[in-house]
Amino acid sequence: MFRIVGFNTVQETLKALLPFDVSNLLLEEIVMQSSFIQFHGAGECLFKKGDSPLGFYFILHGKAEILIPGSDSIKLVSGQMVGLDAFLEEEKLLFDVISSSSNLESIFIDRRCYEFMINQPSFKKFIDQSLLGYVGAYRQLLVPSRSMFL
Amino acid sequence: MCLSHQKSTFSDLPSSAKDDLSRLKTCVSFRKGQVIIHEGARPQGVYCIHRGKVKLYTMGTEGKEQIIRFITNGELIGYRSLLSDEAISASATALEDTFACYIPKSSFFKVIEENPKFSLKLLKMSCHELGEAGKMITSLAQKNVKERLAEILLILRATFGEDEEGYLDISLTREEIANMVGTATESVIRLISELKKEGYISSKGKRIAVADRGALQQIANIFE
Repeated sequence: MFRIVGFNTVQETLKALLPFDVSNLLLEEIVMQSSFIQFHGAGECLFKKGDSPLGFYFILHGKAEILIPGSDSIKLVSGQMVGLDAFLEEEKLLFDVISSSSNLESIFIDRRCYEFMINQPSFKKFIDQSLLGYVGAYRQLLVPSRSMFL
Repeated sequence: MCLSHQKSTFSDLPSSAKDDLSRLKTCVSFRKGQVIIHEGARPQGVYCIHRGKVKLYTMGTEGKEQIIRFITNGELIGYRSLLSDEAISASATALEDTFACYIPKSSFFKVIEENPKFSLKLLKMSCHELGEAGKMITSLAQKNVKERLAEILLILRATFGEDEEGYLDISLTREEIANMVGTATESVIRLISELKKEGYISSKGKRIAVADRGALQQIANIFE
């Protein structure tokens, strides 16, 4: 039997994942302006190296991986964003990003939707924290051991 | 079953293939004004519109939409990007409450591999879209705004038909019409009023009716 996904499904999932309180009106606007995208198998491509950064994904369900040649991949789970760094820097994607679970559900946030979100202080803080998370993840890949800095 | 819908791209497939697709599809509903897909994303599947009307557009550098075309019952969104393994080249937004089937890439490719007639149909669709895109480029480059507006009104009539009162069976804002013509909203408002005065169209609120198709064809330089 096939699955049915409606507006409310996406809205409720998003609400449950955000680490702060957000009004239904605000969530509705975000769901209206973003696009729901699902991936049906591990290895499916979210971004390819060299893609133009016209938006980024917010993972609702499932896992994704940023593939960095010659290094460990960065693993991402629900509640995290993919492609945000390239989007903000307006530079082409540096690495391939793939789904690493059999089912991945996400919303794709373009510039119009992002500009709406960033005007809300709680979202701005959340996005800033996510960026810091990215920096931490990349730094971990660059240095052999954390203990060097402890 | 929506894949058997008379207008569905999948309607000619054998029952077994349609059953396979139905098992693996996801039914997605979209509210009026909700974005279905964004330019730049890489969905690994296609949407088949079951019921509703959708606009396909690209975003200009200053954030202005250029409407490319409309999609309605039975038509597909995203198949060209999937076949060419590229990111989506145009965004799609529901113009009214819309229901669509999302078919994953693996199922879609299986149907293509196993059904040569369906592959040919996709090829024809793709070539047709290419031809239409060529016509649009010519129109934008060579026709003036009034000619393009007349052409767009005829395209809307051919795509969506008329309601029981004779108005175009699609509700578009003047801004959306301007985004399709490729001009400012103010120009479209002025030209609609001009065409109305000349008796070629009539309008009531947002609704527009084609009163003299022949005259609009002449203005648009379209010859049948």
